[in-house]
Amino acid sequence: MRRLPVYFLLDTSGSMKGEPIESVKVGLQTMIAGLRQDPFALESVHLCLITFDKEAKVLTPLTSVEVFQIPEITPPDSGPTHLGAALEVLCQRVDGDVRRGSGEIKGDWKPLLFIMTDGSPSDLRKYRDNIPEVKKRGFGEIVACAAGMKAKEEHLRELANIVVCLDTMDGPTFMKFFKWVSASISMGNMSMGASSQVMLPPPPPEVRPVTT
Amino acid sequence: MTERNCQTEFRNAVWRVIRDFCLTGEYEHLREEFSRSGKLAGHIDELHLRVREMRANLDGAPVPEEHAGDSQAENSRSGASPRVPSEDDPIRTERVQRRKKADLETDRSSSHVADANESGSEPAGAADQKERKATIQEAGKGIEAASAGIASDGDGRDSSKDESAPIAVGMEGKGQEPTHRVRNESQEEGASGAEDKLTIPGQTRRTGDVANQSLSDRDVDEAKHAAAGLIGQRTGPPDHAADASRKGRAVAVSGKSGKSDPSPTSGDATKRSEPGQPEEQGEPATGERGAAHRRAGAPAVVEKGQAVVKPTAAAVVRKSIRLSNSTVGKDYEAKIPEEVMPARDLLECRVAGLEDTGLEFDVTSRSLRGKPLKAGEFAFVLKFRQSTQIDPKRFIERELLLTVNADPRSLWKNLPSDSNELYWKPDSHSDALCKDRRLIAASQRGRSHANVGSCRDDDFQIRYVEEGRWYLVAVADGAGYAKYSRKGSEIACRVVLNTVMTQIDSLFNDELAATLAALRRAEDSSGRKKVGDALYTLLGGAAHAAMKAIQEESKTQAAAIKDYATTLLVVVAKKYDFGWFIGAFWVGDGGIGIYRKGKSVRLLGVPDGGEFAGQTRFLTMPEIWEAKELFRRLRFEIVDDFTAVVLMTDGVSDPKFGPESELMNLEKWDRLWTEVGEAAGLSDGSEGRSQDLLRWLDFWAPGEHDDRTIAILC
Repeated sequence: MRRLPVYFLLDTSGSMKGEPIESVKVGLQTMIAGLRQDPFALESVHLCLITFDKEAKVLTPLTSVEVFQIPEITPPDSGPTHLGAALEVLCQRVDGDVRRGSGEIKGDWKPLLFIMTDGSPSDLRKYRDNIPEVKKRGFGEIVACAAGMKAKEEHLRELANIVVCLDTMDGPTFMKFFKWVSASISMGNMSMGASSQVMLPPPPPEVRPVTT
Repeated sequence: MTERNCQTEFRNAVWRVIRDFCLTGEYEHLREEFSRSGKLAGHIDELHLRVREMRANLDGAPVPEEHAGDSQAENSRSGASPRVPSEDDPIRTERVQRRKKADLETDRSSSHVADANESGSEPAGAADQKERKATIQEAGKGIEAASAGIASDGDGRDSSKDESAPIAVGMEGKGQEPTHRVRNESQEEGASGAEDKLTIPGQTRRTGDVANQSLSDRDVDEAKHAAAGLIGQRTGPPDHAADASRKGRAVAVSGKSGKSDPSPTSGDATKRSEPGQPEEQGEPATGERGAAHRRAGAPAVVEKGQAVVKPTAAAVVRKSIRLSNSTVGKDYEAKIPEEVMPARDLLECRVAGLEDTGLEFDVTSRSLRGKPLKAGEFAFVLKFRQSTQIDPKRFIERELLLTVNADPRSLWKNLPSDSNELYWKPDSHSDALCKDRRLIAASQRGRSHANVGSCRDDDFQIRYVEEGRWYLVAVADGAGYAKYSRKGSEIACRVVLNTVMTQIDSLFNDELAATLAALRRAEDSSGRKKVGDALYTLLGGAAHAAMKAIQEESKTQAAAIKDYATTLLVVVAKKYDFGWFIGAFWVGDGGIGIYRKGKSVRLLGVPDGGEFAGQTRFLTMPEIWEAKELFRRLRFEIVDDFTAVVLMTDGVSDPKFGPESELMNLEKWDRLWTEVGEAAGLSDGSEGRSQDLLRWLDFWAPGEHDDRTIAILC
């Protein structure tokens, strides 16, 4: 059975505390509900949730949509944004989780990566060191979301094929974003192919793509 | 001041304190107000301290998980008072509050506070909105924290056991949970009467306080109701879901979770706290994550009539426990966690609201089991009594939250494709011809396409050349991502067989037949090269012609050739007097096998698998046209006989065989043959029914919903 592994890197630094993280949780919940309504996603999508603040941790290891439950997410009061460390953890997880096809094993679909941050990596050097590592992992698509005005999209562009901006960090905007993510995952399911890029649906107006 | 007036004033003051605490966290000025009545001044100080404790307590535990297993949390469960800081620690409290303010100021999202529900609020400047909003959340925490320390149905020891653990189970909700909790508990409390003792974190109250004596139980209850109502009003309108669940009925928040879209209309904390989506909000509070130990307060006994604190007890209500997810039609069992409902001292337990869900509660195993009938988000009510309760007749209630996934089969739609679309083709196709042997084939659009109404990408062609008595079969699988691959597969099958037909008799002439015969007798292995060359010219040439035809077609649409990407499997077969000659060309995934029932299977090539699913080679890729690479893709066999020669796209080979190495697995071939033979009437030597073969292609395999095409020579 082919799985579509989907990795989420979620900024949980102090600035996400309060409404932003609550909105993100509601957004995640909607996304999961949406995926549960998509038969392909319900059968194939597996989600892994990694958060990063002063440390990067795997909040939910790769879990099927069927059994996935939103975990408790509690940002600390303040502190750095260790996105670099998160990339390191991500690579480890992908190496351990994602099945690569061979004669004996059926490969998973190419994994997808979604990153959401409202700041910029505090460990910039580690971040840059890990970018080539992430790119080796064969992601079908890497989408980064710069949430709010303080998010630094230029760093994200070094990593992600698609960078989108959320001008505000309120519930409806996050909701739109996660719905788009949900649609992207569903569509990613459909469009996976050999040498081609995954085709994603156009984002809603609240989710502004960064033109490079 | 008369006693009655005093009571009223006190009650009003209590409301204000709670409200202000919930809204602003500013209650300093209330002391002033209270100091006008000498009798009450002491109480407001008392309350003030309580509130500060709660806040400090909360702040001391920013990451609940960290405390999950620590000794303090354990202590708290056994009735000690762990994380309540000493009352005379104003510095810490101040610092905590200042830090909160600082956090709030960095909270850029606060601009979205909506005032829709603020009708009863204190007048406040716009600048205060941020803080008020966040404070509502804080207040929610505070109420919960307070409630953790207040046992509403037992003495201090037992209630701490009963209450502290489950309270924390549903602690997730922050700003929104208290809304319906408050409402629920106000009723619960009202029913249970005022005989309940109250506990307050960290302190034992003496009897004989002035206000206590002057307040009747009825007043206390009224105060609670009013306070509950106030908070409810502040945080959102009552909701039928909350109401219904309070009455002990299960509430399917939505039959379809897609419709239960919890999208907040304005995204502020106030709005989100509407109890319309209790499941959504309370989601992660699972007992298994050790959440049961979080923020467990430390109760100590307080005499009844502590009206000052009691309204916050109204926040206790029904703690939510999220059970593991289930799926419609699948066996399900979930045990109520021991920390939620300890088996010891249990007198009675039941779950309300299971009607028509397909689930039942098994008392012996204390688990919910059955096969869910309907998908959606559900809330049931667990009720139980324990012998250790002060009032063992009273039920403790917990909310059980359950997600029921739909059966994926029920979610697949079958939308017809749009026949006006460029390169449209029918969603399914089948064909058969019966000569000495039968040639039967079918192609079915996959569910992944049917679900969105897109076209089938697979294709096939079967031919019989009367003159040379050749059987010709081509099967192709258009790449899922390529927009015109449905045309690519069609062109590939058609052109490759057209080209083969024009050349096959001249290439496989009498001379080559003699070579084949010699090969068959194993007299002259040098003949292999000759046959290989002929096959190269025939099939390699035909495949190349197909690729060229696709290229030409792509120009008409100003598209790239990769937009027509397709695999291609071709078989040419002829019965000579020395046996069957079967030649094949294979690019991409899927499979071609010569099958002898119960005896052997020989593959006519190697599938082009990739590292990840869906990765393969296509006819349209330049790299396959190198001579060496092309040779590799050509195979032939000379066999005495066969049960079937089968060509299939990966839509069939993946679910039926799995990984590529399994394509050699004879057992799986036997199984496939039995299935197909029975379905399409091939086993009995009759003509075969291609329509039935088509129906068979609709078989169910989880996660395997690609187009399916199979062609059989048998």
